[in-house]
Amino acid sequence: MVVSNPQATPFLGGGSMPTHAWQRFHARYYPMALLFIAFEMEMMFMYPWAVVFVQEGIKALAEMGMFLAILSVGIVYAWREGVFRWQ
Amino acid sequence: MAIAWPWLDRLAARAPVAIFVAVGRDAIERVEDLSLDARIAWVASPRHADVLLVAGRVRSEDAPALRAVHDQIPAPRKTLWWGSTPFQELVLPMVLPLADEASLPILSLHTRVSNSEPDWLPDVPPNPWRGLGPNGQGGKDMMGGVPYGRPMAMTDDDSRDGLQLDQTTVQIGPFLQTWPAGLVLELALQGDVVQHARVVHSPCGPTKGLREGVSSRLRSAARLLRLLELGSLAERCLRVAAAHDRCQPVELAALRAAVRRSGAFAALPAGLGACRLDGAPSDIRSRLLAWLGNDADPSKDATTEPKPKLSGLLTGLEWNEAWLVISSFTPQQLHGMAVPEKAPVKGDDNTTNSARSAMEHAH
Repeated sequence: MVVSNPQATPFLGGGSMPTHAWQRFHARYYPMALLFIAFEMEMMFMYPWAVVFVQEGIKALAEMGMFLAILSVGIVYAWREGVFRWQ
Repeated sequence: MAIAWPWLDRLAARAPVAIFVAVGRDAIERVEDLSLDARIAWVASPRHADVLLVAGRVRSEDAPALRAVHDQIPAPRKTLWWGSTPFQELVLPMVLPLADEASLPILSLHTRVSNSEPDWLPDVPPNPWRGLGPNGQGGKDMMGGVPYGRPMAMTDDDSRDGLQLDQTTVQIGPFLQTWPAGLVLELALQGDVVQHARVVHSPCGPTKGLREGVSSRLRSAARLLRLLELGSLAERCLRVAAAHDRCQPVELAALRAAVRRSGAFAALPAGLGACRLDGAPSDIRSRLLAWLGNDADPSKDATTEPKPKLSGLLTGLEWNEAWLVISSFTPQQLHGMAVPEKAPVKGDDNTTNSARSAMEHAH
């Protein structure tokens, strides 16, 4: 299909763009997405741990508690840095 | 296609005719009444349309925009001039007075087998090539330059949170669905936040001889509801408005309850578009509520209070909120609020300076 130049222009109700449309956007969700990926990986460790927990019992629970406590320091830090603020 | 499915052809032929309407002066009520016809679908984009309906007189300053919108309708396309004057160069344009009903002419125009209308604009880029380099980046560095005659978007301070994003300028209007007829805005956008707004052309103004009564206020409510994608509620508003025009009793309470149930008020952020209007504070919710009310219009006799400026109300809003705010005023109110403003002289603006020097460099 051949599209003529007038047809290829964006629809702005008849208006036009004085400046170019090539521009950079800010990915505001970026730090939030990074934090999400980090803690999703942490969840991945908990699946094999669940098998070990059946054999080891309370000792494995304490170890996982320590692991989670260290990771939550990261959450608290990120929170303080304003990662959860939509800016 | 070798396979012939006659039932499919018949089904396709019964689909409503998609029209894009370029609304000119004093025609919006006629267009809204036409849109109640089930055989016609009033679409929001020319890309979805088969027929261009030019309703009402189009100002000379809007003629280039009309040509652009016409050319954006995919072939095969037709144009019906409904109460408007066709361009001189057109051969045998279809013209109809605004007083006549347009639905049957649109249907016959749509089914008539003929060649598609050619473009009304020359097949050249809207802005000529002025960049340097194979990709038109123009300037020496990554940014700058004027590819296709338009300066690149440059960073500017952000009024919301100080993030320096690329700022782009767009001129929007005058032919958009639910948009005040004739209004042309120049918006400086960063992401979707309106950093500056400027009225380029004021709206055509309210229909002459039409008093601001229940009917016209319901029509304003219908425009806002259509913008909220509540099309069936908008049609209901228009039907009630039409019934009121014929002096039939209207059931405003039921309509109001239906709008409440639809969640329209929840979709409108509280305090959006807050300003003092006709001596009382109002926001978008209170204005919609007042339109659906039965009380006499409090805004008779022009109050001495100056009307708020539309461009001031839009600054700092996101684009969807800005459009909602524009739609939350009646044509009568907008007439005094949207006064054309001169383009600012950007002598001290770094952005424009760099763009300008890049443009000079390209020459």
